[in-house]
Amino acid sequence: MISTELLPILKSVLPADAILTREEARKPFESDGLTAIKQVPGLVLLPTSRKQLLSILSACRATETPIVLRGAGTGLSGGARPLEDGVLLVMSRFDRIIEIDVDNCIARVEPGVRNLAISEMAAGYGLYYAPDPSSQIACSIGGNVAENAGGVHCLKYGLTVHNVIGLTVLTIEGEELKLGGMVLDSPGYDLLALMIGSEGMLGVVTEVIVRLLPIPPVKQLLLGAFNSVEQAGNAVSRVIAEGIIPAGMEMMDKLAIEAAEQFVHAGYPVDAQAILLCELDGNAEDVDVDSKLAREVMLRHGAYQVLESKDNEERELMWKGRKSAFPAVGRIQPDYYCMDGTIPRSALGRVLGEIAALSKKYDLAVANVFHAGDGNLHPLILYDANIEGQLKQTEEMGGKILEYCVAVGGTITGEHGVGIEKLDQMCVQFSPLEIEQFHRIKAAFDEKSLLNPGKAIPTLSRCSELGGMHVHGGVLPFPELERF
Amino acid sequence: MQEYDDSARLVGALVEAYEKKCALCLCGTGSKKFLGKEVKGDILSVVEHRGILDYRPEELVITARAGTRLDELSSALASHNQFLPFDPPQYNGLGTLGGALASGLSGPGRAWLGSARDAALGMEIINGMGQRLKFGGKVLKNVAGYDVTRLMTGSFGTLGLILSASVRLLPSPVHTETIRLELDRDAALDYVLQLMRSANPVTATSHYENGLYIRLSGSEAGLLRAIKKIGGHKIENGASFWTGIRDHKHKFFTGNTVWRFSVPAAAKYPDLPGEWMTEWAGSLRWLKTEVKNKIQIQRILLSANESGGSVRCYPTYSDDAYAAQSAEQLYISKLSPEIMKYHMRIKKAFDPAGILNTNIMYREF
Ligand SMILES: Cc1cc2nc3c(=O)[nH]c(=O)nc-3n(C[C@H](O)[C@H](O)[C@H](O)COP(=O)(O)OP(=O)(O)OC[C@H]3O[C@@H](n4cnc5c(N)ncnc54)[C@H](O)[C@@H]3O)c2cc1C
Repeated sequence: MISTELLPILKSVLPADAILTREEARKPFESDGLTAIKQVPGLVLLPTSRKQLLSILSACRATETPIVLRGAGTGLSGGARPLEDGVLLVMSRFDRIIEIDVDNCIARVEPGVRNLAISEMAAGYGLYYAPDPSSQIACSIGGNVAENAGGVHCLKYGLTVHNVIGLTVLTIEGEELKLGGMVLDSPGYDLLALMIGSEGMLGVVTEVIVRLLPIPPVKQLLLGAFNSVEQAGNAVSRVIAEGIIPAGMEMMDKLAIEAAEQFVHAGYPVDAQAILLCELDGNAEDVDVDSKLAREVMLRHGAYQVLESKDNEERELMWKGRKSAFPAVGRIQPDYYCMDGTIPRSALGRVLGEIAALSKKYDLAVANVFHAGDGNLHPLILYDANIEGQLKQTEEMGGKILEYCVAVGGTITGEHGVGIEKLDQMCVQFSPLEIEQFHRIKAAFDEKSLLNPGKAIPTLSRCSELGGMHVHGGVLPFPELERF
Repeated sequence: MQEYDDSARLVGALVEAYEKKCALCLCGTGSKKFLGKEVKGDILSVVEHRGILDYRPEELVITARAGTRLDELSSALASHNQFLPFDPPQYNGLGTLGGALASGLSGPGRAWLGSARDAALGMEIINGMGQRLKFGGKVLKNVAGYDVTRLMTGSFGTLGLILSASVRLLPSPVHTETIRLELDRDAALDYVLQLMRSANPVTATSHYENGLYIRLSGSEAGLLRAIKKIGGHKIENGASFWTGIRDHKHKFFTGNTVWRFSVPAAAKYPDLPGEWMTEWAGSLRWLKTEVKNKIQIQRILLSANESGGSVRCYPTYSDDAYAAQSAEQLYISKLSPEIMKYHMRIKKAFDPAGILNTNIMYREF
């Protein structure tokens, strides 16, 4: 229950349309993109000014009301899952692009601005914002900062952390921190980097400065078709071992190819077991050299066919298949569970094999569509929420996949964050001492744990209930694997 | 390459120091010692803890112990046509991986190839309580837990001792050329800003006196076309020119003390006496000037602030100069009171007894 003292204070500082109290109005906010986990928030606030934000923070502090921040609600780990006794602070009305500074090649934006809107605005100057999550038409830059979002082009251009150079953050105590700026480094600790990927646990992001890059003059997309996912997985490493850094290197397996092809008719070879989409960009000369080499390497390592985009239109169509793969899979099976582990590239073949084995064991189909160049897997486990117990089975299988990722030297989340979803796997990846260190960082910013409590970092008691799963704590979930 | 696992001794030393509340001064080869204020405490050297732990070139990642020498690391990478994208300064030719990350410095390619913290993917550290902890990993994309690896980068050993680190690598460019254009300071700035707005194979710029130096990397044909477009003339020994800038061997870095300005790329040059060298397409500027009094120093600090950036005093690195440098002379832009407050809290979260490299960055922690 929301504290009874809170509402009167809020009503005195916020306009009526910024406070949603009726159940029907709050209901649409019950989950983020991870729809399996729902909770109608105690109260929804939609402020529009810094002053209102400060008042909300101070009211919540005074009444010790927890706050969950929400951007566009596309997160896939339940990071914006609301609390029954808390406030859901929705940042979507902070949606102004404050400036595009062409001389400095930066954009200064409010956190509710959609990712794609920045590139659309910058395009007039021949510039763009590089990180491009597949959700970019909808997700907010504030949410991107909180999750350190990636996209199909981060192999070459990096993640959010590599492209955001300044943040303004309000702490729960109501101080305004200017971190970084229009500069490439600042004195003191790198609090900017600490804030990025901190899942709304350390502060409220109120302004973001991003670097803009010139739009590459030439882009060439290659599509390699393979007879097995393992071959395609190995080809990824081979291309990179040749010294090529593709702008993007994505992989889709048969189920994903078929779904995407039915949905958008991108011209994918439906007889392939796996395809690789390999994009090269830059000046014409470099792209020419690299695409010849990449094509040859793919053919040498098992591709039975390599297609090339003839023009931009065809290239965009080929990408459309990839970018709409999630909804396309959703058409075959309305309920799917998207995982997000990252592994060393050279383990791709092995891990995909393990996923196939788990899929058989649990009798749950899996579509794989992911950022292969970064080793960032997105197995989509298809399930039916109406069949009792199937969601639980799905979560269990997903957990096993992530634990396998850790065992081969990877991580439980590449870009979606821990949120509420991967708390158990955090106990596998980190030792109790490491988790305590995380809690001390949290306490340095938010001693009473009012910002997004219970997310991202598990309590130690939760981990000990799960029992010694931690991989570098001696008991190894996959003892047959070599360690590195 | 020499290999030795000195971690047990290092953990033991930190555990003991924590128990006895005994201050420590963590150090590598001392190549960047001149950048920190005086640290009181027992010296704990990490240099013996060295060697590569994991290097598979196709992963574009290397994991090595903190004491691994930068030159050894670079030659191991070069044999696979790879390099550290942040190209850390070595100053006196020494320098370790741990020191490079702890100081967080990056070389001339920073604006194009990323910084030290951009490349840092994972670390094993010992915090101020002697706890051995691992954060991040060996993969580029990783959002499990707070980004302690990047917080550690540039924290000058005040939060913990770096035992080993995984860093991202890049394939060495097939071809590299350096060209020189005759342009004065302001015209050169306009020109590099223009270069940043269009796709060019530029990977470093430096302006000094009336010369704008541009490093280009890529395919042979791509470079030919870029050189035709940009003009100027090629210089010989481009590689040593850039390491000279990186390690402050260039003649600009002799004589008076230099001041390092980190400012918005397009910021106007402040009206200060002295000579400028400008790197990173305008974002990094060095001012060499003779400082006679406090008023001049205040002007330098103020002008960096006004242009939306920061400045720090950067003495020359020779030992004599360092000895002559009292702690008070290492001026650096102030942190705002709020930001300082969070620095102190974070310091406490890692080093509650306040025993690690205290005073090296700011007198408050
Ligand atoms: C179809 C689909 C495809 C996707 N593809 C990708 C992809 O390719 N790459 C990728 O990285 N992600 C992807 N995602 C995940 C998601 O879009 C990203 O995590 C995105 O960054 C979330 O942004 P959001 O605005 O929706 O944030 P939300 O879901 O609203 O919130 C995410 C987190 O950010 C916090 N937060 C939000 N705003 C702020 C703020 N102003 N200050 C502080 N904290 C804040 C919230 O508390 C929460 O913890 C995809 C999602 C979908 C549904």
